[in-house]
Amino acid sequence: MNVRIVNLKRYFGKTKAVDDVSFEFSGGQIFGFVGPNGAGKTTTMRVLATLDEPTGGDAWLDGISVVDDPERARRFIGFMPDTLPVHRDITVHEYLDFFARAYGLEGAKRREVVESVEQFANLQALGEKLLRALSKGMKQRVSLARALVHDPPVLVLDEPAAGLDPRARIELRELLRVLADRGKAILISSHILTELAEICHGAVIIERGKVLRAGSLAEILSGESPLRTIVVRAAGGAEPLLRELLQQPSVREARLAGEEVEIQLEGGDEATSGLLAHLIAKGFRIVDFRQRQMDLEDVFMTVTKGEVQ
Amino acid sequence: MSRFLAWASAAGQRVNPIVVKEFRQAVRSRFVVVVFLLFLLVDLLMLGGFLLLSPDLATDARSGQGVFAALFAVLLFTCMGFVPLYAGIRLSLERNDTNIDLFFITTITPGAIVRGKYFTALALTLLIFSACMPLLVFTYLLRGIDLPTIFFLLAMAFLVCAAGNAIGLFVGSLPGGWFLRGLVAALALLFLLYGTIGTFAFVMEEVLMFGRFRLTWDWDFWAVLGTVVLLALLGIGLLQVLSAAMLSPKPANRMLVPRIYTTVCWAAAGLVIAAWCWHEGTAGPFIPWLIFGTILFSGFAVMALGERDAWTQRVRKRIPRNALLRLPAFLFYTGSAGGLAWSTLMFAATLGACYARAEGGSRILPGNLTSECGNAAVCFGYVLCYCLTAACFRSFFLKKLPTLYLPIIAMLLIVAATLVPYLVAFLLMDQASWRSDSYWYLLGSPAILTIGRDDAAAAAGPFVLVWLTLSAAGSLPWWVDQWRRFVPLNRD
Repeated sequence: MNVRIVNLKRYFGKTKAVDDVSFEFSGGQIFGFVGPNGAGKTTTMRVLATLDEPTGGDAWLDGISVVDDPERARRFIGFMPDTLPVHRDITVHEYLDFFARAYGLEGAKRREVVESVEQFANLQALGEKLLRALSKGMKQRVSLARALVHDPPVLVLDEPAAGLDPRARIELRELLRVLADRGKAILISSHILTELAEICHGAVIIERGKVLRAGSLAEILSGESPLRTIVVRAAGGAEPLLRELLQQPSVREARLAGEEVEIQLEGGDEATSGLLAHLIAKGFRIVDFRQRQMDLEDVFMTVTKGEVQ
Repeated sequence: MSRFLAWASAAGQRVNPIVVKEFRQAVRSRFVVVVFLLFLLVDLLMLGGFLLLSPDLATDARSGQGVFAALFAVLLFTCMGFVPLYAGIRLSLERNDTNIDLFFITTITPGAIVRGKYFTALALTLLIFSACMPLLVFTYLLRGIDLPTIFFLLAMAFLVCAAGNAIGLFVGSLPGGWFLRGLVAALALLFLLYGTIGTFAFVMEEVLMFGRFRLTWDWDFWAVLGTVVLLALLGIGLLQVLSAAMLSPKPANRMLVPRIYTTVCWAAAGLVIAAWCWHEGTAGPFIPWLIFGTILFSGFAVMALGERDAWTQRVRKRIPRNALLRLPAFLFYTGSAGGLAWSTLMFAATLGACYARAEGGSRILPGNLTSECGNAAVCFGYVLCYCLTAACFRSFFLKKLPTLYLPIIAMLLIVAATLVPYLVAFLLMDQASWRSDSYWYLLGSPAILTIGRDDAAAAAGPFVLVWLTLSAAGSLPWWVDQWRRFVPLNRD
C-alpha cells in the first residue's frame, strides 16, 4: 500500500503545528519520522490515523483519503500512540479480544488472530494480567499487538521505543523488520536516531511543522551538505597537521579529535585527492586519511535548530 | 438442542464488542460487587427487621404495602443513584481526548458504542431488579398489595431507571473540560434525584395510598400510560442519538442525526396528539406537547450556541452546491447559527400548530390554549434573547473564545438577568415600595410569568420583542459570517 501525504497543514489558532508537509512511503518500507519535541510529528501522525482533521491538505492510502473517508481509512491503519491508555479491570487477553471484536473478527478466526498477535508481541505469559499492572515496556508491547490485531497494511507508530529497556528495544527493532518484510508500510517516530537509521529505508526530518529533509536514507545522507568530513592522522603529532590544514582554502573547518584532525572540506573528489597530495608533498607522514560518512544524527544536528513553536 | 447451541454461539459472536468488554469489566469491578452486596444486605435487613419486630404483622391487612414501599424506595434509589453514575463516569473517562483507543481507532460507530454502554447499564439495572424481585413479590403474602400492581410498578420503575441511565450516559458523553462537565453532571444529579423522589411520591400517593392510577382496563388509563411510555422511549432515543453525536469525532457533522431524529419524532408526536385531540374533542393534549416543546427547543437553542461556527473539510464536502438545498442544510448541519435558527423554527412550528388548533375552535380549551401559547412564546423569546445576546458578545468582544463556552455565557445571562435587577430593586427600594405593585425588576426573566399578574405578563411580551429586535440586530454579523462560511469545498 502506498501512503502519500500531500501539503498537509494543521493550525491551532496562530500556531502552525504542521505546515505544508508532503512525503510518501510504500509497503515494505520503514520510514523514520524525526524532529525535535513540538516539531509536529504526533500531530501529523494523528491526522494520518484519522484522529484529527487537517486545516488543509490530505493524506491518501492507495487513493483513500483520510479526510474524506476516515472510517474506511481506519481499516488500513494500525496506530500505536506514545502511551497506552489506562483501563481498569481488564486483562491483556480481554483487551486484545475486544479490539479483535471491534474490527469485526468472529469465532475461531478471532481467537486465532488474538493468539498470533500475542505470540508475535511475546505476550502469552501476560494474557491474564490486568492492563494497569503492566510495566511501561509491557504496555508498549500490548499497544503494538493492539495495532496489529486487524492486520493493517499501514502502521503508524508514535515513539514505540520510548521507555523500553535495551533488550526490549532490540526486540522491537526485530519485530519491525519482520513486519516490513511482510509488506507493511511503517511510519515510526523516535528520538533514538541511531536505532532508526539501522532499520529505516527512508526518513522525514521535520521542525516547526515544516519538512526539512525527506526521502530515502541514502538520498538524505548523500545530498545533505557540500562539505565532506575527512579524518586525517599523521605520524609525529596532530598540532602541525592542524595548523597546515587550517591554511588550506578548501578547508572550511578543522578540529582536533584526539590524535586525529577532523576537517570539513569543500569540493569533490578532486579537492580531496589534492589535499592528500599536498600534505604528502609537505612531508607529513600520513597514517590515516578517510572520509567519514554522515549518519542520521549528523544530518539531524546539521539541519535542525532545536526550535519549538 | 445442538442447533440452538450453534445459533446461540453464532449470536454470541455478533454481540456488540462494547457489551462484552463492559460486562467483563463490571464483573471484575469491586465497586459494582460492593454496591450489589450492600443493596441485598439492606433489603434483607429491612425485610427481616420488619418480620421480626413488627407487632401487628398478623392483624394488619396493609402491612405488605408498607414493606413494598420501603423495598421499592431502596431499589429506586440504588438503581437511579448507582447505575447512571457508574455508566456516566466510565464513559466520561473513556471519551477523554487522550484516551483515544476505544472510540477513535477502531471502526465501531459512536452509535454502537452508546448502544453497547446503554445495554450494559440496562443489564446491571435488570440484575438489581431481579435480585430484589423475590423480596418484593414476598410482600404480596403480607397483604395490602396484589401481584399485578407489584409487576406494574416494577415495570414503571424500570422505565424511569432506563431514562436515568440514558441521562447518565448523555452527561458522560459530553465534551469539554472537567468544570463544564462537572456542572452539567451536578444538574443531572439533581434531575435524577428529583425524578427518583417524584416517581416514589407518585407511586406512594397515586397508586398505593389513593389508588387514582391503579392498573385497570380503562381506555383513559392506557391512553395516558401509553403516551407517557411513548414519550419516555422517544426521550431515551433522543438522549442516545445526542450521546452518539457527542462521541463523534470533532470534525464530523455531529448534529445532523439528532436534528433529523427530533424533527421526525416531533412531527409524529404532533400527529398522534392531533388525532387524540380530534378523538377527544379537546385541545388539552396539545398543552403538554407545547410545554415539552418549549423546554426541549429552548435546550436545543442554548446547546446550539456551543457548536462550531466554521466548518471542517469533511462537512464542507457535503454542503449542497444548490443554493436552495443549502438553506435546509444550514439548519440541520452542525453549526451554532443554523442550530439556533432550527430550534427557533421548530418552536415556531409547535406554537403555530397549537395556535391554529386553539383558533380552530376546540370545544373545551381554546381560551386556555391561547394563553398557554402566549406564555410559551414569551418563555422561548427570553431564551432566544439570552442566546442572541451571547452571540452579540461573541461578535464584538469574544471573537477568540471557543464557541463551546457560549452556552455558559447564555446561562450566566439568565442568572444575571434574573438576579441582578431583583437585587438592585431589593437594595434600592425601601420596604414600602418593595411591597408596592412594581414588577419591573422581574422583566429580565420568564419568572415574571409566575407572579400571576396579567399586567406583568402583558408587559413581558413587548419587552421581549424589543430585546429580541435589538439582540437580533446586534448579532447580525454573527449570522452573516456563518452563512458566508457555509459554502461547499472548492476542490479546485
